[in-house]
Amino acid sequence: MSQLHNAFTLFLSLLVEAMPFLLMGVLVSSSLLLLVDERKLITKIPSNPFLGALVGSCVGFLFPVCECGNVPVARRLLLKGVSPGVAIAFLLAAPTINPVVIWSTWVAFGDQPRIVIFRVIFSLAIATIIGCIFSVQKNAKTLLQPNLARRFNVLVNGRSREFNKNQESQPLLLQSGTFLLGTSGQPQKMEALLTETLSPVVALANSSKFQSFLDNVVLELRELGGMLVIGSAIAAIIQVFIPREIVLNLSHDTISSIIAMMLLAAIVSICSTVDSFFALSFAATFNSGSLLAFLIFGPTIDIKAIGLMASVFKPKIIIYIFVIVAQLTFLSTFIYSYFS
Amino acid sequence: MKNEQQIQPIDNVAIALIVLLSLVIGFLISTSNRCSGDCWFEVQPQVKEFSWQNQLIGAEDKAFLMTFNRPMDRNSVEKNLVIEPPLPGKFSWAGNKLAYTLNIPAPYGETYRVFLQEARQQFATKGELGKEIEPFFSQFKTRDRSLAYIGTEGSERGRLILYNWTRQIKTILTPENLTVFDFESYPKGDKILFSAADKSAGLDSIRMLQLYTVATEFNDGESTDQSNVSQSQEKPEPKLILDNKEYQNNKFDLSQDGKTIIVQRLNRSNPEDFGLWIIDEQNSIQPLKNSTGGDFLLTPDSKALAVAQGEGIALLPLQPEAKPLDFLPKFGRVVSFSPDGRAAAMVNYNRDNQNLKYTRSLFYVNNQGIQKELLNLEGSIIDCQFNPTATNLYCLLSELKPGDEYREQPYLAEINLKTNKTTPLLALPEYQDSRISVAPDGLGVVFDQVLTSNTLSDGNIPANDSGETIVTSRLWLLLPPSQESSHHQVEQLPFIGFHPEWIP
Amino acid sequence: MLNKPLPTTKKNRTLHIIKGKRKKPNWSFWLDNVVLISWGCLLLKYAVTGEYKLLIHPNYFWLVVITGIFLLLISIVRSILFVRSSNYASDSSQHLTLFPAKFSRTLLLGVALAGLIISPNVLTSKIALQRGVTENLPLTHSQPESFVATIKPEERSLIDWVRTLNAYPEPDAYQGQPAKIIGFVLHLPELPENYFLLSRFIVTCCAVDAYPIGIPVQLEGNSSIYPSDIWLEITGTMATVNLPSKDHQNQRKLALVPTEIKQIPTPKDPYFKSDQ
Repeated sequence: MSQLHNAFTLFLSLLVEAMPFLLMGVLVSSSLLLLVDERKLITKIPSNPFLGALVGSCVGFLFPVCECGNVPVARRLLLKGVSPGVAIAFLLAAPTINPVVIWSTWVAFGDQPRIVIFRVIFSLAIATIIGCIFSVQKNAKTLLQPNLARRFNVLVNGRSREFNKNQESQPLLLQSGTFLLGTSGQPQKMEALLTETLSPVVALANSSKFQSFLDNVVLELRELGGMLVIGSAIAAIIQVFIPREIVLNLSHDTISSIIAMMLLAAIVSICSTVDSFFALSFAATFNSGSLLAFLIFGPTIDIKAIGLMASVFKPKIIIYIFVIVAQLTFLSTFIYSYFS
Repeated sequence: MKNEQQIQPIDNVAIALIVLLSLVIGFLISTSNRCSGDCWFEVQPQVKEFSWQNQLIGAEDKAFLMTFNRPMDRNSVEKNLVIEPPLPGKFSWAGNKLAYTLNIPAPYGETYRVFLQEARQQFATKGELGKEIEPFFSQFKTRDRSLAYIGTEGSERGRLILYNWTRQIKTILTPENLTVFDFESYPKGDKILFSAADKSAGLDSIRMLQLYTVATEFNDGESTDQSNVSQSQEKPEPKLILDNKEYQNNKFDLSQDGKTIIVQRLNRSNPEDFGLWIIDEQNSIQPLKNSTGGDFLLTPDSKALAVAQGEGIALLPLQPEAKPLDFLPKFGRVVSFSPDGRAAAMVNYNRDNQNLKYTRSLFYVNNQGIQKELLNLEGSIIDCQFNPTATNLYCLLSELKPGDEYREQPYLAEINLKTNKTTPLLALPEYQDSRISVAPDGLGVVFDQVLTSNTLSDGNIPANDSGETIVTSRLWLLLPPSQESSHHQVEQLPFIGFHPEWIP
Repeated sequence: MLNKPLPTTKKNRTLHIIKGKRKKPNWSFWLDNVVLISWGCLLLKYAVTGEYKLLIHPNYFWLVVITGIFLLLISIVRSILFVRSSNYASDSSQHLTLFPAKFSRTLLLGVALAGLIISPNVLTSKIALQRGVTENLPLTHSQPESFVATIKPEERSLIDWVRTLNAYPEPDAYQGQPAKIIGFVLHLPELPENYFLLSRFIVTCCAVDAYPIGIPVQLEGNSSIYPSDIWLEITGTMATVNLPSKDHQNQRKLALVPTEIKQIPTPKDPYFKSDQ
């Protein structure tokens, strides 16, 4: 019983800690929705896949959100038509490549600057590589979780149609002042498109920006909050009922130490802004290569975040990302530990 | 919707990459498993940091830290760590960090080599030993053994003289026109703070003292961290710290960290204005205004000041007008603190006790509240100093001679602080107002034998604390029992001077 | 008004919305508000009662307060807009998410209500054992405190002791110093039976990452008379002892030899905060 109470406490602790960041991410995402002109946004991102991915990785500097806040923003970028490569690079890099996290890593590992530097370099490299890979997929729709893909259909396909039609004149969606599509001028078409879907925004075409902003906030909070609850619950249960010893005892050489720390990172689901302090408590038992593995892998993949990612991507895509990130993390820290 | 089922470009690329990475990882793991010896990419556990690496250390350095890049098997490290020449000490650990604490300070003027090999890495799983450490070698040095004194002969008269024992070099640190009254070395021995007056001041010199610092040059050449040390050819140039214009400077004390100087000053135009002043690192001076200015001594942690105040000793913080931190009502004087700051030797004048009225008691007081009486005598307690490990106290005492004439018999004694046993070592007839100094590395105790005269001379001649003129003086070294000899040994040092002090 | 049933078929509703003419109060709108309010209340409750200290690092206190206020504000503004605006559209995109909105809502509401009813507990020794006591502190700029008559070692807290030992681990350097330490009892299997660990958790971010530190306490008799998890204030002196640890053979360690042991209630603020 006390273990259950412990689990409940940890579960709440995860939620209370993540909720502000989720709200922050949702607010950023919703303001992007309203304030940013996606055409300009897209033209500003380099079309070269590598540069695009690199830019995506560095966008995190603008939004210091940890791994709960980056999902809504990445999702919004995707829905805005940003290339999947860029959005995924952002998703993976933002929790690490941002001033808050770099600073806290520096505070924790100031006496081992190599850990700080390589955390940044490896995270950036991994995010960029995966970003490049995903840029082969021009059509973002196929990556997305089916329900989101349908929403995406509405937004992007509808928009490109609009663009084609109104190449010369100003696009309708900009006239309306929101990104919203389908003004009342095209009800039939919308109906045809939206046989199964339903975009609240359509109906909101005439209402205020603010209202739609609020609605989007609530919508995303509800969707992602639900996922967060499930992810946190799983993470808390694992924390309480699987002794950490089991994970730590996996390590008996360089390779297994790295794997153990990556596993720990996934299980602990700790926010990237403070994970370096957590990692520091393992400095006595683990070498710097495996600590680095923890610091690189943790922010990108953890159980709590997988729940959130599931609301964006198809399971297949999550598996790809997960496996490649894990492999690259392992490879880079394995090589690192031979030179440290 | 249809093309969702088809294989997308991303599937091809992602799966291809996963396969490729798996192959690379597999290759790396298999090669690393196969090579058990020295592979080009194989890196062994290492000593990442050694806090005394090529350092010049002194008695204040009690322990070194060795940080490893991996968790180490502690036994194998402790077994295989070698220091040459040996320095006995003890091991302690915190995570990947090893601390080696010396039992006694490392003897000065030596180079020590440190080796570590065959120690092994430890993994979180018990019982399994990891790789052997990359052989480690380093060395460190102790500072040269040196002492400073004030000369009394010929052109050395009244000048500060530094004698480097290790290299047998004598250097005169101060110019001819200054008569040095008192001095104290900075903690690393790189500078000496002294009070001196211009010879032209004549008899007034004791009221005309100014504070100076002068660089010592005994660390030149090989020392890496002391750039301000002058070349041996160059004349050391004293730097004025505090002038004598508005105030008369009396006693001073330098903190053990070398950052604070406390001076007792008297306003030349207003005798009411008398008290302690503090000089900080930036050489800015301000009055402390919290003490009437009795006998004072800075505590070894350099954070407080022990001042004789009324019927006791006040511990004052180093901020102006601050309240005392503590008050020890029993004692009249702090003679000395132990180097680690945990203990002090204090004098109780026994004013409350009718039976002991004219006697003095020497007390050992530590910061854990222990106060024990070491001795009680009719006479005076001139000076005491702890040895570096604070196991013994060396004292210059004087006992009142029985007889009609009031005469004191000074002697040097060693007090064992464990057994409280006082061993008189040397009777010192005609010694007056001597000073003792215990070597920072525990080599021995130097003290002076001063002959004074009451005749007032022209003032060019150094005077002692009581204003008497020093006629001549000899310096002696007392060596505690060692491996070579089971007795205390005394030898006269081959120079003439007084007020000897070991450089830390 | 609120009791009007939801539209039954999706198609129906879709058409309604697209026409944008509907002004119907609906369940989902108000339920969302309830979820927002319950979460806002939960976060503010933690802030007001101080229970947030059991969940997160106090650095995040304002983050929690602001989030709570924001959630309440959102629900209020939405309601005002809803009541005022004649054609406020219902937000009912249930089947656009991975879960149906109903499910999400119920989940969030359930968690918030559970949180409001059940208070978080203080992490117990079970968690400490599960996580393993660490020797290393995530403290970087720690300095060995010089020992002086004016700094009283008995004023050092548990974390100060561990920090001091971390900077300079030689136990003999602290031997004989008086100490007064507060912590909870933790029985480590590797310790001899007359020892227990007086321990506390350090929080870097939230309770999830809390990890225990501790100082061994040497007793005359068997340590089992002090059950796990009770909080003690122990006055005593420090001594050097030989103790086995999980990873290493017998090691010279600093232990507390009590002169007085007093049981105290669990502190309101049981965790140490790592300074960031």
